[in-house]
Amino acid sequence: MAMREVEVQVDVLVIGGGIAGCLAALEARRHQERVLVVDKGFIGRSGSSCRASAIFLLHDPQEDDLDRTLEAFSAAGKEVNDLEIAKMVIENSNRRIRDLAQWGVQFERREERFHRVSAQGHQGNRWGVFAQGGLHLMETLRRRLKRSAVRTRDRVMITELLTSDGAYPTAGQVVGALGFDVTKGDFYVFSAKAVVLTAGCWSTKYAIIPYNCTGDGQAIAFEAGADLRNMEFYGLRSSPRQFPYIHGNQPFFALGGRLVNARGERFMERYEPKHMERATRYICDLATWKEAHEGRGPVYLDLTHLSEDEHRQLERVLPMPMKSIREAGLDPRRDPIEWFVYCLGNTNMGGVRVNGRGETNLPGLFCAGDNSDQAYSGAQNIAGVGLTGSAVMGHEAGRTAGLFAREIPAALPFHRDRVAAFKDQIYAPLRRDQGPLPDEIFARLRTIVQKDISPVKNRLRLEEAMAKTEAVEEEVSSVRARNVHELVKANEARKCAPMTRLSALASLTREESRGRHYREDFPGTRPEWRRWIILKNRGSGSRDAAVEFSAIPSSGGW
Amino acid sequence: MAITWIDPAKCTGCGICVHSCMTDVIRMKNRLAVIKYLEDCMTCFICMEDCPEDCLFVDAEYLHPV
Repeated sequence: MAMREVEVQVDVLVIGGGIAGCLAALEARRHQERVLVVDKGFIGRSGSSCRASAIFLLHDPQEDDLDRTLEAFSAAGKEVNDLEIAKMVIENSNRRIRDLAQWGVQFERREERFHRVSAQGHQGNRWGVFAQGGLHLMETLRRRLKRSAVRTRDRVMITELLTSDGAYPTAGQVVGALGFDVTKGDFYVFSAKAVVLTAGCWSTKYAIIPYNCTGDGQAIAFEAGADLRNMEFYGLRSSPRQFPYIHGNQPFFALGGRLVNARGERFMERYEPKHMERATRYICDLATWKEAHEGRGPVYLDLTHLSEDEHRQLERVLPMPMKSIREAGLDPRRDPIEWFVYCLGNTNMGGVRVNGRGETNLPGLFCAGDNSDQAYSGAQNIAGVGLTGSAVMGHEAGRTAGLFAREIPAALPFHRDRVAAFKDQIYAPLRRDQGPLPDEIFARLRTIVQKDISPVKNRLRLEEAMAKTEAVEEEVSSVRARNVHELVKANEARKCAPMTRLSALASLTREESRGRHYREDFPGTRPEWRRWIILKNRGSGSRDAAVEFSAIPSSGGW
Repeated sequence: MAITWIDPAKCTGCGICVHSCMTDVIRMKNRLAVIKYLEDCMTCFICMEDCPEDCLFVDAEYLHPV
């Protein structure tokens, strides 16, 4: 197999082409000429954004009280969010959504105005607005990239960041990235003045589905020396049992869907009588898990009582999920849909620590979206903050990166010896004819994620998970690949395994329960734990994580 | 549950479905789309949605819980 080696020079490199990456690139392009978005999949059809239910949080300064919205953020985030960043996300939501609308994204409207709905965590307020599905959203953004002369490179997996000193963790700055073409295998080196990481969340492939967000972006940032924050707040997700690939379920509940158990009881009455199914998502998910766990399952999503108008709206804002439900021979007007909870990884919270400008602790490295810690959310977000936060912070990170790059005449050189060593490591699985296949590695990780570190955690299982994951990481170093397709998975496993261990480490450290982090050995929330857990790379290999604590600035002032 | 069939009689070889798939299940062979890595299909229906010729079939048979 002849593989080419390609070297590309740009001003700003954006890794990951979801909503955060597209908005970062579009904004960076206003400040710099050569902006490139690279994605492991096809930009517009990769990662979480294109599968989102496309609900945005839209703050209307004329109608909404900012303090009330911030209180809802704080209540859902269990006071481990950064409310300064939250305030910025809320205040800029309007601008970003109007940009999207101007670029052609269709939103639900009534008489020309955005039609706002109340969704999970909104405490009865109408703060959400739906775009017509994630596919439409991302197709529009892909077209916008082309029109704005942002370059794109589809299907290249980034496996390492380049540092100016060739050290990991670096004492210098980030000067590019490297990786390989996931279909042809060609090797790519991107040298850049600034790098924006928007490569999505950590989730374990095959935990439920063979998803392509495997935490690559979080892992490569940590290896280069970026801090991680809120990694313990992964946990439950929920979806129709037979359709776990359905991403984003907010419209079901925003439009009045009910959760009922096997006895036909609308059980949310017992958990959160005031807001019922529009309680914060983790409350609904934990309630669903408890109903099933305590013998009152299975749980169903009931849409049968919705009006014809509401059903038609569901078809508009959830085109793909509704299509798959119909394909399966179910009629949501008549049939209850089985609902279940599971763990994938840290979708929507936890990741690379950033400030309100999208800066990480490493010069030259910026981050946004699910790749970042999304500190505006804390322990759990309210509906619509996933996309709005990614849009606002993607834009901010893009601007900061663009301005950073503008001050530098040229990208700093990288260490060619180091690149050669990384190249060797990437392709090593192709040279082995013995050793485990990547799917076997993921099968082990799946068991750890589903049984040991979620949904309910305790010390014993977390410690076991740490040990098991270390063993898996050992195995990863001998993984073999029979073709380039397997080589992708081998490299995904190399990134995913340490993220699993780091999430277990953060979970083990937090000796309390808060939001999505639920410890059965510490079931209560403890005020002294109202602080952030920061994971730092202390050198001697990326495995050496040091735990630090950081005080949360008091929210006074807002 | 997965992609089960690409109708070679209807496929025009446009390659759109190859782009649709984020887990790289579909590849082109002899100018036609073929299912290459079935085990990585996440049954997201996006290829079926994107195909202009309506020649892909994704099976979503609902298995009633026992």
